[in-house]
Amino acid sequence: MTLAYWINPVYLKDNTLMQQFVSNTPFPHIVLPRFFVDKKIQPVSAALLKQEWQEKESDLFQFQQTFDLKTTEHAALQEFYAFFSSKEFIQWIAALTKTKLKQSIDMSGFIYNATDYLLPHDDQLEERKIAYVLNLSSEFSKKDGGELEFFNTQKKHPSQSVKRIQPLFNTLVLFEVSPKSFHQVLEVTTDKQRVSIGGWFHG
Amino acid sequence: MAEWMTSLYNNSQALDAAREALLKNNSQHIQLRDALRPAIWKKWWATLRHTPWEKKYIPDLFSYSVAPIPEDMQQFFQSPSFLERLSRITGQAIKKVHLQLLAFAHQDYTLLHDELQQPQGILFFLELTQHWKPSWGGYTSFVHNEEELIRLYPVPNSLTIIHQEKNVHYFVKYVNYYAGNNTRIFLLGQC
Repeated sequence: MTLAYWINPVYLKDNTLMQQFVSNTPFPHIVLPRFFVDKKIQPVSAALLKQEWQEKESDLFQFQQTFDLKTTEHAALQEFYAFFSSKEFIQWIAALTKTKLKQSIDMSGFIYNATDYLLPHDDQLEERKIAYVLNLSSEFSKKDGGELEFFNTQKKHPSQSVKRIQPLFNTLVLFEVSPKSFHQVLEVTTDKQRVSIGGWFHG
Repeated sequence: MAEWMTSLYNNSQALDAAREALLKNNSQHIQLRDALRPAIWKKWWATLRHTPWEKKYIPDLFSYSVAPIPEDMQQFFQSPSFLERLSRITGQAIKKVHLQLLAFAHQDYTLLHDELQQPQGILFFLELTQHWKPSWGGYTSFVHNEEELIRLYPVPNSLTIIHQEKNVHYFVKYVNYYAGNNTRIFLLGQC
């Protein structure tokens, strides 16, 4: 079975994931450490750094990004993309998140260097149902910044940051995109690179 | 009031030259350097040090601090002599300005947002920052359809006058940790 080939077996046996996802606050989400089987994720991480990177900058963000990885020429990433966009995996994510999903995703790589950031926003765009981030940098500690932060909402605006997720290697974060899903990535305050793969499952 | 500004800007020829430069400039702005006399600049700086700043934070819109405008600053920028100069440079009859005193420290920013409509017209920034480096962020960026038209780095004691056209919006870039304890302070005037 393909799922078992890629995903840490602990998660395939755990039937509480959906309950955790829907009940987590300030909006439905789940944090899954050591998500992929180690020998599968290491080559993905190595191949990602060989991709072509573009500087992205606006009022809202500053980071480097790849093109959509659908078009990657690196074998390890092609294999990863094929699994991530497979019917089997999307069905598993749909069940976990209790969300109706289409056979369609966005996926790109991100590098946050020192002073890079992503300010608070809700990710809402037609089709985007579930957002995901797979962290691929190692050795990030609290003082290095780069945490993913979730806000609670008041009068349609984010008010307070109520959850921080450290960018630990091979941790997959999933959250539901809604008018409440305000989040940000804190400024990286170290010379280490914060590397991740992220995007959305469409519905 | 005239004695508050550097002699250059007390001269009508210089003002006409500024006006010409503003008209020629496609991005509709002009930056007057060394705008205030050093004595005035120092005096305002001393005042600002004791100003009670109040934090304004709506995470998806902005993060900065505001302070009440010192009386003499208010008087100067509402004075006929300043408004006449501004009118002469912009070619528009300016009778009154709305002023805001703003401070941007590490982690501060503003975002472009549909909710925050920016009126078209004349804007000016009097830069009260003491020292700033471009690598710290915190600059003002004017954009039109996601394209950056002007990027204004804080230049101490400069007065930047901008003709903000329809559908042009500005934001203040996130101030990063390289700024340390430095703060960008400016007086924003809307006419």
